[in-house]
Amino acid sequence: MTISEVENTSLIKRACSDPDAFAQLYLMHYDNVFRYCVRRLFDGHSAEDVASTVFFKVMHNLSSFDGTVIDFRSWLFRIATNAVNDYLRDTKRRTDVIHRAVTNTRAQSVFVIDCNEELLEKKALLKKALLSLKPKYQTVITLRFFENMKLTEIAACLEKNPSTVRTWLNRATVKLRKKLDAAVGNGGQSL
Amino acid sequence: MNDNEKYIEEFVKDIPIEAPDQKHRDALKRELLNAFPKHRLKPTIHTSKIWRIIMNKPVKKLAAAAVIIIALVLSINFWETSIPMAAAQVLTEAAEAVSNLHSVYIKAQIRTLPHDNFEYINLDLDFVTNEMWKEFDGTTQGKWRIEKPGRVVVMDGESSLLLIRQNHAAKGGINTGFVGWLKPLLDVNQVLDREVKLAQEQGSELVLTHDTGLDGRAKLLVSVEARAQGDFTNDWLKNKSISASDNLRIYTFDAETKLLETLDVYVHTGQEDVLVFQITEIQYNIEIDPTLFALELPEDVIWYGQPKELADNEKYEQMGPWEVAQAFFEACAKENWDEFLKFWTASAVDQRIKDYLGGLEIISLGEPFKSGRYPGWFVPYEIKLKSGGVKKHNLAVRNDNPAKRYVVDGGI
Repeated sequence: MTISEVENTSLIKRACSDPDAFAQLYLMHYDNVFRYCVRRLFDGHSAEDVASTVFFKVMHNLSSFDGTVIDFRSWLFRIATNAVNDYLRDTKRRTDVIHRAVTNTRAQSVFVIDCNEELLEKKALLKKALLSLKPKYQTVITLRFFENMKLTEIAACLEKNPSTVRTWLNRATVKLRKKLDAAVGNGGQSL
Repeated sequence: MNDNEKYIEEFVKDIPIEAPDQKHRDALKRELLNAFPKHRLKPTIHTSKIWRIIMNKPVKKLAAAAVIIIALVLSINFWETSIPMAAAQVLTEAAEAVSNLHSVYIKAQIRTLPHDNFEYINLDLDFVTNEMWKEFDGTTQGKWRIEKPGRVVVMDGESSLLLIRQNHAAKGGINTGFVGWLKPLLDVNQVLDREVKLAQEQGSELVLTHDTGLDGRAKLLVSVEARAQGDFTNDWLKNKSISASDNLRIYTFDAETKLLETLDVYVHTGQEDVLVFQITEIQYNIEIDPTLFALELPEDVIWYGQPKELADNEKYEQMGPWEVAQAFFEACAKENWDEFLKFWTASAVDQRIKDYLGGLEIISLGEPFKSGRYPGWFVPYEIKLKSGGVKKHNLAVRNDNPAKRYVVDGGI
């Protein structure tokens, strides 16, 4: 969906108090937020959980959004980044896991991917390598290489200087490459 | 963009990512809109903050405890008992409930690779759909079929046939090992009996939970905590199959019919619990198309089978795992495919294998080791391929075959 800046600003303003406008805003951004979460977490169900958290936070904080300071997409990705990092920090999920098993709808997973084996193995290596980095490095890698954001956009998302982001990105790419190289040359076991 | 960035950009290119689910999108929209008016009237305070405020003072702590106890007493449709006897009883009744089936169909998701062994799991992989059919026709084995995108096994009641798509096949007997732990799933009564037996013999923990399902019907959930089976002094095989992992298996039964409805298996890694197996559909006593129990093979099929005795079998019989790994890679290096076949269990060498391994250079071979319950050995190796890439892995070799010589079983 394409929408002009003016219409966008107007929609965000209305969405603060009008549920229909909020629903429209939500539908415009749900897919992007889900994709970002799944690229960070490598798990569809976890990504749905975090996407839910993100949109509840958006709903509760929308009135504090200031379009003159930050654009809406960067603001949204800032919330999503914080939510993903919070999720990754919380390792005590056993109760949730069992609860999920109990309430599972048992419908066929919608997240099944049908593609070639080499890409699936590559994805597994990337997942392991990426998730072993510090969250801030995971964030810059995902925003840069999956969301195709520029340094200035990533900086806006993370409330950092572009030079800091540049440094993080350099360190993150060096570390990630090292881990991927080691994994590719070692049957994926050395990470 | 520097070299590292280019490398990563290239690496992540085409990596498949799950698409959003419309159902979740719509359900979340409804939840948000339901919460919307409340939010407008009164800002929401985060639950954890409320909890912290409550737990700050002892009186409030006691009040909170009382509320929790009342809530637990009231929530009678969800309670647990850690009496293993009750769980064992449910499994026994469930086994009886399926003892007179004439057919069963199971659809499951497994974190694995489409072409790899049915038993293989990898916690970092995406789910692959596996389907299973069984017709109980009075024979010992019945007829069954287990299939995933890259691999299918069919048992026609007398013998089994494995096809690894597109053109690799193997014949097996009645007790084929092609499908590992998936096969017993088709004999639901046996798998439930086995859980009771494991609990008795190996002390796996059984817990019974009562719940009401989304369909409004009463459910019985039996969770089984099981430890990895085997010696993991070297943990190479740890978490590469369900039985080689510390796992939690949750069986869900309809409380009235006692029929198994789902099974979820979570592997514990120490940091997290990863769902690796999930039954998404199970149907009993359905009509199964008889053609499912037959397989058409491609004309250019390459057969795999047990190694036969060679004219000079004794020479190979005397070779240990390390010597076999060395001889195998040397055969690849020299592109001596006749020699290669003495360590390989196929009738011919696939051109893709020739292209991949031909002309390689051995960098190093390590000390053989054992892991888990694998009957053979693993030999660490590092090779330089003709393509320039370096591969470091473990070659699996085993000699539990009629010819009693080590052959390569995996790790390429």
